[in-house]
Amino acid sequence: MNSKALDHFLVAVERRAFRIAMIGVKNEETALDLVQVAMIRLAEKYGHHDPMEWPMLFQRILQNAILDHHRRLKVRRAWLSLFSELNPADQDPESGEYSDSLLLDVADEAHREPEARMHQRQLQTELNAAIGDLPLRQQQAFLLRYWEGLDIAQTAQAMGCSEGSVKTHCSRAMRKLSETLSFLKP
Amino acid sequence: MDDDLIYKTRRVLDQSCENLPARVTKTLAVARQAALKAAQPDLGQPHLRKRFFNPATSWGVGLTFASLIGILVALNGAQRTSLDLDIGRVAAIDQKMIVDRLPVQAYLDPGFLVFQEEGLGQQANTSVASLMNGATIAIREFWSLDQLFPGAKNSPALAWVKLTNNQREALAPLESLWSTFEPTRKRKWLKIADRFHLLSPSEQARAQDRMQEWVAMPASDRQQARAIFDSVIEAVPEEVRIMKWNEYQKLSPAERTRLVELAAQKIADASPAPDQKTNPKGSAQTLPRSALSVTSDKPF
Repeated sequence: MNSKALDHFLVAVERRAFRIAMIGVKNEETALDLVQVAMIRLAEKYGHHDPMEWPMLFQRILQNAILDHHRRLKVRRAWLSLFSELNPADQDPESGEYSDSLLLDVADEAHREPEARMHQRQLQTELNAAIGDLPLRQQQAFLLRYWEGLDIAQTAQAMGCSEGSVKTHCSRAMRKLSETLSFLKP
Repeated sequence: MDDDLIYKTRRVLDQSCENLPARVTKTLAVARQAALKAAQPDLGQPHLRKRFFNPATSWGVGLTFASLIGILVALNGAQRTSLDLDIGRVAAIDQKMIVDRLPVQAYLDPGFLVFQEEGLGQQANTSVASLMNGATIAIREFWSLDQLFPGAKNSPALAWVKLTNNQREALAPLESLWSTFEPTRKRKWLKIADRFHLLSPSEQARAQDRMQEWVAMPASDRQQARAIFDSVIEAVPEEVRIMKWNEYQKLSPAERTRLVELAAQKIADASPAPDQKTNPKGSAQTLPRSALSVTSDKPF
């Protein structure tokens, strides 16, 4: 019975969690790994908690995993740089050359009109790039607050920062996005 | 301007979730199963169980007797944990319902559901028939708090005078009815009260306005509203629901009657054949998640 409730919750959040992780780490395999880690950690440590707490706890675990990934990348880069072994074309998932193949590899779009499909692809790619270009904390605040629907207090808990910081991150993210996503404006 | 940008951004992000490649959705499903497996030692079983002694390494009849007592305590604890999870789940959806910007009737009006379906088509990723048929299953298996644990005992700790000031303030509209509530319902409302401060002032006001209306509704309506709301909020963004509701209000009575009749026809057409009723997999593409992901043998 309880595992059904957890299953229900995970089904509801897994796709958005993957997209959030993708925007955060820009690598499909890494994003899937991070979502799996977050799911398992939630189930192991907080499965017996009140389900109302799960959304915030899950996002907190996922956001921490994304932050940890970036910290590890930073260390790896420092070492690679130190030994001058870094090839500029190395498979750095955060390099500007990363193409969002995920968004272009749409499984069930065969039935759509080609123009609409193209437009949809373009929208998703540009939106993905715009959010991906935000600093990590602004990305997190924006996605948790406006996509996941957490309120300011929950977003602050999930991000491990103050409510004031959440407001600042959200406000800055909105300012940047309204510039870069001008094509979405009416 | 910001609201418009947020809405459009969310819509594109939501669409990007619908189009995930099969390899990703399969990997996510595997990850979910791994998580559920990892949860098994904990779910429904309190930490007490881990501290029980192992009979293989124990000695003496006294210790064996103690272990039996411990097992009984653990089973009781497991049941309480399970109950707590179930109440929490219902509390979560009820809180969203009383804060929602649409009236509860919107989710009980088949005419409005078919109106959304007609206006949004594939984009809504849902249909009135699937919602209604799915709701029947979901109600039976998931959302019937009112029928749960009828024998649960009232505890003095749940009396109105024993509540904290914050709880009493949040639940003020229910004060006169409180003593008539079953213990499970009281616990559900206390969970909502404990998170009341997380709502914005306007949400708090809306929630308090709705509380009496919500508890006055027949249990069957509440169950159906929960089941449909749970599916609709995933399928249709809030802004779209509000827009469609405003449009729906402007329809003539004749047009609304036509929609209600159309809904009844669609529901009848899509009703599973008698031999499919126990196994809705044939309509898995359109059933709401709440109906698909639960197969509990509990009364909700």
